[in-house]
Amino acid sequence: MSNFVALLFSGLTLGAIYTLVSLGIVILYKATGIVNAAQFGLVGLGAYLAFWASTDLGLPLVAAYLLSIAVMALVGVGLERLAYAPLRSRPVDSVFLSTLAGGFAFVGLIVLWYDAEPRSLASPFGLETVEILGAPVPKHSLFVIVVCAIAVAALSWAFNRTRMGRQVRALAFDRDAARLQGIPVNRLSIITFALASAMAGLAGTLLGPVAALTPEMGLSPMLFAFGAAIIGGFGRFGGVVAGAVLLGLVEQFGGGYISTNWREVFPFAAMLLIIAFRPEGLFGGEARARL
Amino acid sequence: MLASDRRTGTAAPGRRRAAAVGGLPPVYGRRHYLTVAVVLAVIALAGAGNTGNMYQISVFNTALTASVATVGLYFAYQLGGMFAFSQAAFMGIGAYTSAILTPEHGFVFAAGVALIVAAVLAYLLAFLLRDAKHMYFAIGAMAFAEIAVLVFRNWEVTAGPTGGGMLYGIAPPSVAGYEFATSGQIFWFLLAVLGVVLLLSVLLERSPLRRHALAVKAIPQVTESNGIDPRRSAMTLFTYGSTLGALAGVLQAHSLGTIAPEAFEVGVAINLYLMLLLGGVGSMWGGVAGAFFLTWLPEFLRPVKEYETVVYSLLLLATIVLFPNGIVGGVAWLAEKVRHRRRGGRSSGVTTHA
Amino acid sequence: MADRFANRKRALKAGVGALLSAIVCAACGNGGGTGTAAEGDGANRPLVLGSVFALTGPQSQAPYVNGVRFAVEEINAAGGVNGQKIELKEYDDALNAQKSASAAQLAVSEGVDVVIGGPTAIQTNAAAPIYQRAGVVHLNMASSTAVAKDESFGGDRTFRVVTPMPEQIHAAAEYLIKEVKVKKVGLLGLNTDFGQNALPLYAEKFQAAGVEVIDSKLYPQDAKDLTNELLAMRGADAIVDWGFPNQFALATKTAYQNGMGDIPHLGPSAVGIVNTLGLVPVENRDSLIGMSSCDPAADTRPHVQEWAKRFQARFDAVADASAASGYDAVQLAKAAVEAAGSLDRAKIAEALTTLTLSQNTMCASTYKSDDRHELMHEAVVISYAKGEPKELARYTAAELAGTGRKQG
Repeated sequence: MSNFVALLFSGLTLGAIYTLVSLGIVILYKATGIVNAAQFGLVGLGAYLAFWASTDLGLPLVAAYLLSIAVMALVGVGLERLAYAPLRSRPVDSVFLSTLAGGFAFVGLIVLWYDAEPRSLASPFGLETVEILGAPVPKHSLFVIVVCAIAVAALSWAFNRTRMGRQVRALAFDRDAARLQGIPVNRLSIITFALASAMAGLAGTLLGPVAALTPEMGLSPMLFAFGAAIIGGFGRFGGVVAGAVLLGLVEQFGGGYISTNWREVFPFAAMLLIIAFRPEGLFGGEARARL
Repeated sequence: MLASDRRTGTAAPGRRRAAAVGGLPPVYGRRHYLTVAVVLAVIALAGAGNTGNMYQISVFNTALTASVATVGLYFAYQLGGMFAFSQAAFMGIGAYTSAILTPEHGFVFAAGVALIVAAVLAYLLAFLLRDAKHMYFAIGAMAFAEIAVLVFRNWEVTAGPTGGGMLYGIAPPSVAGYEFATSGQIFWFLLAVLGVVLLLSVLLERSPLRRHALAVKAIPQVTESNGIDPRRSAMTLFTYGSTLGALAGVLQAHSLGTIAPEAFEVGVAINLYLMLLLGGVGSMWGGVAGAFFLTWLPEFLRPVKEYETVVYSLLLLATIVLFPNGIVGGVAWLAEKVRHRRRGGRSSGVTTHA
Repeated sequence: MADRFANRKRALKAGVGALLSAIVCAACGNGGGTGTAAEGDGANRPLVLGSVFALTGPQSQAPYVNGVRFAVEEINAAGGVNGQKIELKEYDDALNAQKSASAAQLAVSEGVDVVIGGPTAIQTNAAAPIYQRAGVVHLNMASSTAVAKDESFGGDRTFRVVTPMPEQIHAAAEYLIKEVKVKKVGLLGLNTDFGQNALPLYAEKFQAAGVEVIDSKLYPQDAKDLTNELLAMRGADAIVDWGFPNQFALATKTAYQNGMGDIPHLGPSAVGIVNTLGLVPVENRDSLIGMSSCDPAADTRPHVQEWAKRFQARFDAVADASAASGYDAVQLAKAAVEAAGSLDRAKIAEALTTLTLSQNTMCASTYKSDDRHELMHEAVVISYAKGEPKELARYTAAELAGTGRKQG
């Protein structure tokens, strides 16, 4: 039983991180129509920024995390101003590839900054655990899950209850009509870029203590994040969260009860099958991404 | 602005629209066999001029192998419309199959089986993902690729003497008793294989299959109502392209003598894409040009190796933003300017020799 | 008409594109030199040493590179080899097979006499045959590749400078069985050739000594969670964890969180890196044990301690086992050239098969080749409790030589 609980929480933790990355991608897509495959580079950058803030600047951990997120938001704004304009007119395929290349540019920058040696980012909770149903659950895992839940709730509220959220939804529905309605398209796209980038940074800082810091640390989470987005129908947040958690749990339970060295086959196979047989997602989300 | 727009002011509206979506591949006439000969001859000369230098030859060999893979990618992606991020995995499928079967059955048989296995798997994957478009296909292909790498790592059949899918001591290619043992000999072998691949590909380009594929991409509804199954041609092209990828893997395994799962990860597939993009996504020649360019670039950058990734990515972004038709497109654009000037085109009376 | 136009343009385009690449290649071709550098006895020319490691790519192998550089600097300052300063050429192989092959070819074409090369199998598997074919002497730093002299890997010009993996495994198992006196053991490993090769060897040794192997689990290279694996180790008196620094650190932390922080957690030389880079908090390093060819930080020999201080001052980095091995490799090259009395590569290789080096060595206390061209057969077990390396056990060549061979 305690094995089950331990695996459950580790699966939820991974799912939470995938959710954050995925929401960043989905939000950006809804607001600007761009599928941002550079997200993995931003995840890594966020983690390294937190590392820099806590070691070189000597900030306490939580402050370092917050600083990283703030800087990442600025990076997002920068991306919007510099990279968005030339990409806007290109076909979707081209955008996907360009952003993928952009992601590797970020990886390269990290390597230049800190080289490829492994680094460790600590958690504000250290290695402390809490006992739940007989299993020791790391406090950091609970922290990740709670932060993610708050983020999802906040985003959900923002998108469904605020005027800005309504504007973004209008934008996603029909960009030109929205512009005609006087919706400040440019300002919204800046905000969503900053938001998406900040979420990637947040995911990175939360992921850091779990694994280790390497420049390409975001690549595999991003792949799962895309999977989660697809499973969730690329639409509703709830679907995305469910997809991400599903993938995290499949990986951990598959590894636990079937085989550890084949562990990653399970979520990948799940993704492959879902894309093949139910590309509209498991939750009958909104119209499939207009790709 | 695209080269095709600049050509004459009177490009037909259809061509213009199509050009805006990334460029229509050119119409292929019989002259393309000449192009194959020209390209091969040029590479041969460059190689022959360097046969004393094993280092140069080894880089050439890497470029030749990569070319086979990028040409395959061109077919799968540009004509078939499918994001073949599985290309590196198919290279692996070809490489491992051939490496495992060669000791007992000889190179030719092993390579043949490798190609067949790859073709079957590719067709199955294409069939499985036939309704997935664009990014969905991309993610599906990546998931397949990750599974493939896991198989290479974990399956006892591919484990190798020390486990983990690390194979070494793979025999060099040998055909009809003649072994291509040295790097120089391997160069000629690879060149010959590339020649065959290019000829085959030109043949394919001149076939109805290509017309179907282009029609499907540009006007899907019309083709469907005309009785052409739009997915059939895409699947066939993907299979052909992935089989070429497997062939590239076979070549890599037998020329390097060693393979490991790391050599076939998704990152490698993304790299191949970058080669195609840089070379010019609109034609198979772009694949060759990009493969050569991006294989030589890191060698040039050896003195400043830390900046390699950044240079790489910036080059790519510049290509996508400024030169969407890649090297091949850039050369074409230059050629046009020359031709334009020579004809005393729309430019002012000043003639410059470009 | 438009057709012919397009065709001619295509041919032109393709031709020019290929031509450009070819011209560019030919231009750089002249810089590379010819394929066979002078193999004469070269009493008049310096020894050309090649250093091939991953300078870019997913790992940074700076300690090896710096170790080699340091040796070249110190030897040259003391007069060099046979009165001539060593010429050092460094190459990057980015930890992938194709780059390794081209780096090897480049080294060969630039006239390298002796090459010191990369510590992982990926880096050396592609390069070793190239050095062998060119007759270049190859000092291999990889512990997990095949036997040095094995012809599917290298040949008579290939030598290994670090303790072969099977011997390290034997030493580690001996330590756990005889010193820690374990009754039950858990095995973890990285799911690449590194771990896949090691775990069965461990299992064999433990079972032969009557120790129960509770479970044996392999984990993926970018594992983000090792809860499951550690849970399978419950009940063990010790855990063997044969992986790379990141995963080892993660496993240690997970073990600690699951109440297994007090049982020995033994890994390969990567554990030293975990300690140096601080991948595990200091208070959680009590269980950390590393099995390595050597560790300068725990070495009690005075000349090693002084060397470590000089290294620290020169590179602003801790001198670890990699640096020590790199340093010694250069010293071996020097000793071989001096014993051979010339720069004839066949003679250098010959000298390596017969010489004994035990003076001023930083890693092993003695280097001496066996019939398989393996030069080192020593191992140390180091504890990293509280972040201070301390030697727990030392195994000499007498105990380890030959334990790596497969029975029957």
